[in-house]
Amino acid sequence: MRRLAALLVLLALGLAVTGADAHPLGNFSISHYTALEIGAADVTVRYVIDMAEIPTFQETQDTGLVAEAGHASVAPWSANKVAALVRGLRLTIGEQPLSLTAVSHETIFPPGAGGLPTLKLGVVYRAPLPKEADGTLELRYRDENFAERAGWKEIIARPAPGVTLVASTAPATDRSRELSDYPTDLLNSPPQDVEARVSFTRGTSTVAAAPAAAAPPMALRPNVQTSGGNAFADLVARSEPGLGLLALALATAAVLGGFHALEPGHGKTVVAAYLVGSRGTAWHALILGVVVTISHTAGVYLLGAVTFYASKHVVPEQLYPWLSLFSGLTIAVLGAMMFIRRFGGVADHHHGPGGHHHGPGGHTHSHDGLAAHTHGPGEAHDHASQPVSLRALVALGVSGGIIPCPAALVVLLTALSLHRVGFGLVLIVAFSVGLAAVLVAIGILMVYAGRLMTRFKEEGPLIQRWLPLTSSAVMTLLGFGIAIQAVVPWIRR
Amino acid sequence: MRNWVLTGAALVLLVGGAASAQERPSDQTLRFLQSKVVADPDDALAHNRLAGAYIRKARESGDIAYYALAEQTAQRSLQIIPRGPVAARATTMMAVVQLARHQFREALVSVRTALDQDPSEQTPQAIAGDALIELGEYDEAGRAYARLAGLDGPRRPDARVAYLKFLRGDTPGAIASMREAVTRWAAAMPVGEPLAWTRAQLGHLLLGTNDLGGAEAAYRDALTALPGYHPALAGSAAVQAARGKLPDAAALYHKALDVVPLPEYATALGDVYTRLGRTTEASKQYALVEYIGKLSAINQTVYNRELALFYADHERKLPQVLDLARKELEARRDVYTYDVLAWTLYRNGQAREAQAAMKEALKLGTQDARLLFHAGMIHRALGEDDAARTALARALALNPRFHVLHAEVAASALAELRARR
Repeated sequence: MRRLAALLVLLALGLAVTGADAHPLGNFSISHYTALEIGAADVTVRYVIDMAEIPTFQETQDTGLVAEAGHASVAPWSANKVAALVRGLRLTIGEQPLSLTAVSHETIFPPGAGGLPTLKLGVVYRAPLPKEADGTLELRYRDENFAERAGWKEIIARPAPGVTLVASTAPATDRSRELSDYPTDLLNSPPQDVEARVSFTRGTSTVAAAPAAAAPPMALRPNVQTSGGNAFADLVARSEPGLGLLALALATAAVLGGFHALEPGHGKTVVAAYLVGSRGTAWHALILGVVVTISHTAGVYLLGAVTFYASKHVVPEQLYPWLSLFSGLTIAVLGAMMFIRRFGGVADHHHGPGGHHHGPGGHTHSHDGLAAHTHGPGEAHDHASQPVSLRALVALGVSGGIIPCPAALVVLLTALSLHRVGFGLVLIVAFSVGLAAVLVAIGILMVYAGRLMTRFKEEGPLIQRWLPLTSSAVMTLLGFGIAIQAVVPWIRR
Repeated sequence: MRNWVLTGAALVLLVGGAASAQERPSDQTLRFLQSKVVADPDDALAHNRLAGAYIRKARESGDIAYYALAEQTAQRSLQIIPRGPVAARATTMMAVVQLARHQFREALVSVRTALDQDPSEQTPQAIAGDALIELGEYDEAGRAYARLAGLDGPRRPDARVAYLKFLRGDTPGAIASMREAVTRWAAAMPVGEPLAWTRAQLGHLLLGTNDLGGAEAAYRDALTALPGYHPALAGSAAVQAARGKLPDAAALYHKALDVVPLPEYATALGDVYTRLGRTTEASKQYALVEYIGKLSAINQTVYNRELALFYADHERKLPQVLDLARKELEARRDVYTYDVLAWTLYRNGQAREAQAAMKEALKLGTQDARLLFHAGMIHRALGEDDAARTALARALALNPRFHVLHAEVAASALAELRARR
């Protein structure tokens, strides 16, 4: 149980990332990047400003800029900004200030959250170095633009050929690829570098001879990452899903559900064991799938409602052991029934989980109105000795599905706190369908695998007796295992 | 000889670099803890401390990117040690992040898990209290805080208790508790975000009682503890606005907006410009608020209540804002959310429904001029003149300059009601 609770928390935390921030550093950030390229004759400053959605909007408000590529307002705005930004950059050699001249610049408007524009301005500035200076020179750089605003502030320094860096406070390697690929792992908190000091030497011959190499112009790229969030929770957070997006969201939820079914738990083994043990058909597997879907959805809704509306009175995690216990005992009872039946060879009687159901197996189907569907053409007609009761299937499906997947619960909670209840509810259904589909597939696989074995050695004791016997024994043990796992933490407390 | 010069230069650079101007102590802590985590990736304790440092940084800068980092770091810690006291610490960090994201119910679940892992842990109780207040469970919150009353130093929940006292209508008691919290933090950590936050909270309380000098001093002290701290900048702006020094107020709001463009700052600045008659500038700020609202709808960020209040105050998107307020109530059930719902209903011409919500907002007897102003206007719309007069008079008695635009509205409504008698 404790493991389950820990798992719940882990998953909850993993999934519950709010929203899809289009900008990895928040919608209001302004990020800076400076690459100091120190040549023999001059210093090239490659300067990039990346404005997220809100500062971009403020910029358009303040300056009349229209954030569209090729708009007439872009060129004059860029020219003004290039001139304004340089006033916030301080570059000195020793005590002597160097004057920066813009060589080239570029402005792009990559779409951000919800297609709203963001803004990237890249400028190549250049400053000539004093020719006569000799020995070790100390270059100081300081970026005073947008000092208060949060963002990624990175400075790197690199020597050009003929120049040797003696010491540098700035690294030589670019961490963000010129503000286009922000590392979002936990050890890369946004650098806050606004100052750098670099001391360097240059060979005397190069000082005289070096021509001002043409600095390559800026080639700005949009951000690689769009979101630090989780795929599933992001689906919920998306705004106003259109039909296409809705379909995509549902499909993704189903696929995620399928993956969750493949994770440990979820009664795959039990399902397989039951279907093999009772010689079920593909239809049984399908019915089982439907029941699992319904019960899993209901379980998530129930637990979600409890967490959301009654969290004060009921601790949701405390429901888990009860659900596990219920589920485990049901499985164990079913398995035991099967085992007894097989062992005693009482093939034509089936007892439901509550012992309420008695009747010849062959008639069970017709009572339930499903008889016509239980046999496809060409299927083995051995059901007289291997009945599968619908009630047993339902009981098994409920017990397999009632324990809600914590991931699904988190999705529901996220949907609730994001005011997207309807969408969340539908996603849960899709998630459960995906989960059930995988269980059904496994079930069907088992059914046909069983058949295949029957063909090899029809009516042999392995198929007739030992396989079902083993399966039912396994099922009983598994059920008790689940039940004990649910109870043990209580005893230990 | 040349080597010596070079070595000297390198040393100077290194020393200079370490003392780089923009680097705050919190950045150094972050870097130190990051290096520890790199050195030993399986050190869950270091991960916990790093998560805490990220949370502090997020609070300091208003930069939500740090919350995601804190979350990842705490998750990593839980992977390393999924049980016991260390896991309890990590889960507590998760709860803090959830609280910041207004996932109050999720935060409560985390708190319970943390207490499950380590019942002696104190912080989860404090976080539980905070979440419970937002969910309108005031008695529960009080009980959670009471469990921490025995703690000493800054960990004693004075600031939290102060807020609860204020909500319950005991403003003098709230101010006294907040002063106590300030003293404790100042003794424990004379600089940094916790002290700045506590001083800013004290400023807000004093501002609410029209103690402008006291509020100004509190905000100034907050800015000393943490230069550029945006809540204190905005608070100072509100003090200047209350004094009628509107251009100064505008300049300070701009400063706060330069740090973090929060919708409430842009709204306040727009109101100051409106008061100054500078409508073009005002409408720019209002447009910024609406833009933040649009982004907020896309990102599902945490400004729903502030946005709803803005829309209601400025009579924009009225039918939609009712939806927004109602939805916010699903996630948050404290008195201020009820107040915003009531005000939104009133603006939509549903005074009867507004009164029901307002009753919830006033159920604790909170002495807040804004709440009483809203209550008075709703009474007036229903023709309940006596009740309207009482509420408006109380609002103005609490603070005759509670809002740069609405104080005047309240005063003229009251005058008109008195004339009618």
